[in-house]
Amino acid sequence: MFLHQGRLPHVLRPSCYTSQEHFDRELATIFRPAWHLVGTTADLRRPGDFITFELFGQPVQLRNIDGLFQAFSNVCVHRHCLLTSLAKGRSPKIRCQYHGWEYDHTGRTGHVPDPKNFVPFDREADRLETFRVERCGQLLFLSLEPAGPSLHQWLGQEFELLEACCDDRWRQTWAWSVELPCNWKVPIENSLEGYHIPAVHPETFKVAPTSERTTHVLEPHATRFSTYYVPWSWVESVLHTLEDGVMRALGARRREPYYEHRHLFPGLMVSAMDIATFCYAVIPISPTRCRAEIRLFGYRGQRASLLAGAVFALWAPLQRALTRRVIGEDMTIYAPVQNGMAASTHDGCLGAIEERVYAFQQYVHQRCYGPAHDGADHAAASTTHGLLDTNQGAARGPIPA
Amino acid sequence: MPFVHSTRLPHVLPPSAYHDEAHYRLEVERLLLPAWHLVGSKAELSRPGDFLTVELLGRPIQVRNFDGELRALSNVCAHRHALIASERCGRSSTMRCQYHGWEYERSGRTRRIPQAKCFAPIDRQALRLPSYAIATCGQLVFVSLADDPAPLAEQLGDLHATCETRFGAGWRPSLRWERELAVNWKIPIENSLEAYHVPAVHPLTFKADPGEQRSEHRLEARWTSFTTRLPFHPHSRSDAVLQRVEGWFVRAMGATPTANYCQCHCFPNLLFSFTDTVSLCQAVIPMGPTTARSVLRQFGRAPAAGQPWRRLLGMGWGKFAAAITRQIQSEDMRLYSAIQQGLLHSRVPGILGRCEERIHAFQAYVARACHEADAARETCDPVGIEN
Repeated sequence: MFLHQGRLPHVLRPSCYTSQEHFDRELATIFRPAWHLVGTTADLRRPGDFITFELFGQPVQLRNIDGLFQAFSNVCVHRHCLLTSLAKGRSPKIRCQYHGWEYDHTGRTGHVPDPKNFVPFDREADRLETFRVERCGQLLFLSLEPAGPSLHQWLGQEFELLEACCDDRWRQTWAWSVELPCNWKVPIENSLEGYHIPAVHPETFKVAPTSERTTHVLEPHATRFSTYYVPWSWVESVLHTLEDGVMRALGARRREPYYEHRHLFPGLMVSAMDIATFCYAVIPISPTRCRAEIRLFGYRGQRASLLAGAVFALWAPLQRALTRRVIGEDMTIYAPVQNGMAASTHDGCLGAIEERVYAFQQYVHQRCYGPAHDGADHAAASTTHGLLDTNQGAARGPIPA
Repeated sequence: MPFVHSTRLPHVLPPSAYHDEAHYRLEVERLLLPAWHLVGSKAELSRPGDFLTVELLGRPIQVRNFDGELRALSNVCAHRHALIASERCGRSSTMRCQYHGWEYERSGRTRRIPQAKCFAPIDRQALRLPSYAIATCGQLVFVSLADDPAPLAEQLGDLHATCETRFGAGWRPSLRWERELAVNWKIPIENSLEAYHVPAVHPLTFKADPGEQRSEHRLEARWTSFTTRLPFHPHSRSDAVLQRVEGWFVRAMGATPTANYCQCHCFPNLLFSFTDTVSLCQAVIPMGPTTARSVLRQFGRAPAAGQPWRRLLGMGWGKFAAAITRQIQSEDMRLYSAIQQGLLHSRVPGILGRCEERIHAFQAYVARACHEADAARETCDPVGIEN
């Protein structure tokens, strides 16, 4: 059942999806204090493996240093060159591509070619900035804030839920990092409602889950949608039957709910299913660009049998193909939505089926400008069981007046 | 020869100086508008009617041979603002606009105007194309956008005499290499001012940094230079063989081999390299805070007329030397965008080593000029400049 009865206001104005001023506000109040999903332990399997990315203007190099995961500024302290231009790779040491300066695991300079050119040396001052990295299951999170809540505090009760669907029993089957030509909120809001399914996924899902099939939970820092299984399309029923067989082979059990979609504010979304976990993190780049970090995990279980291995090897590509198809369909609508935002003269509106979008917009508004006074019915949302208690919420940094 | 400085040096310019619009405007106003800019060589403008076009700091310019006299005029038609010529270089009997055929004479005054009576009364004085100062040194042609520029010899200083000989008779162009770069103009220049990056960036061409003992730096008010003996890597057998072959070539051309390598930077944006067989000049022309155009011209030894086998040998060597230069330039270019990206986001001040003291001298020169501008502005505007 939906928690609201009728229509809801579109809390955020179209300019919130296009303007630099609003974007800067979001970075300062929402993103700077947050933890961000930036990679997985599977991306950095071996010591020396690294990935690089840019987080809100900060170039970062994330490395596996003898099994520990550490993040450094990817800018050399010598002449400001990017240490490496590769998106991923493996190197025994952190070494700048320009003049070969090397850094150790604390960010201090190691070998510097012809060091007598740089006397007197100040190893303490000339060090790479480091950033906090913490993991939840196989997911690696990074915070640009040197102090602040730990990842566990930040995620609250969500931490265990998240860990359970990407721990060692799961194996990463797909990793994709892609730039999207739209504001970061566009892909998120799209994922928060099934209302678009008949138009955007006519073949794959066919119909949107009705109010009777839907459970919504709206929390101060997260929302949830769960549903039970009803075969609406042949794709779904075939998959469901196949899945039963796969689960038997891998030693997994069906659980309730059948499908759960969680949105952890601001930018992380997790689809939890019986034998698949889909993580979709959206990171803003500019008012009209963002990056999606996409990771798919398949349940592998602990059975070491040949059959289990073979079943997993056959099942994983199928899962990947289906996920890629759904994402591909969603991506076709992002640019049209963004272009519409830039031109819209309306305020927009939300239906009860889109109440998770409403809750998310309220969160953004609250962070950027304080509570939105829109006259909608908040009572329904506040009666649900808390996923995050208020103390943990308060640890997330100051809310602007 | 030890370096001039005995300790490390500060990175004088902040990272913002490599992408900030306001800093760029200050540089244009204080360093670049008053300077002479290398636009071509006499060989490119040898016959009457030869012309080349270039955009200098936002101004389209046509440099043209008017019956043996070189002139620099605006390349924008006084009629409807079209570019008079779009080709980078070419030859035409008259300076004629490609749009409606207006013609101009060497002073910039209009000459023939098709259906001139449509424009009566014609004010030839008002329709005159702006003209710019032009000067030559050896075969090199320079243009200045300043109204009353200081003589070219003043900007080149001691390098003026060197250029007269090294780009004079006996030398012939063997390579012209032009690239648009999506980086601040100071990045390619600073990259050329130190050999510290050689092991990481040129492991196969230069191979090694000659190091302090084999380097000599000169830091002057308007220019700096670096001199060493070739090859850079003294223990490379292949380089030693190449050096011997070059020695034979130099003797065959009737000169004495020295194996010297000299690299000079004439502020703000002119680079020269000289070896026994190559004279190279490179102008890095800024086009915006993070865009620049690099134009490199290389000259090789050319004997007097009537020595066909020497001419042939000279041409062959010129092609070989051009290939090496292109290779080295591409190696350097690979890193430019990584440097620009790093500078865009850097939150550290940066450091310069003693081996990078020529960069320090250049940065100090840029900072001085821009700071003088700041000081001048503050005295005019008591409110000051807001950050």
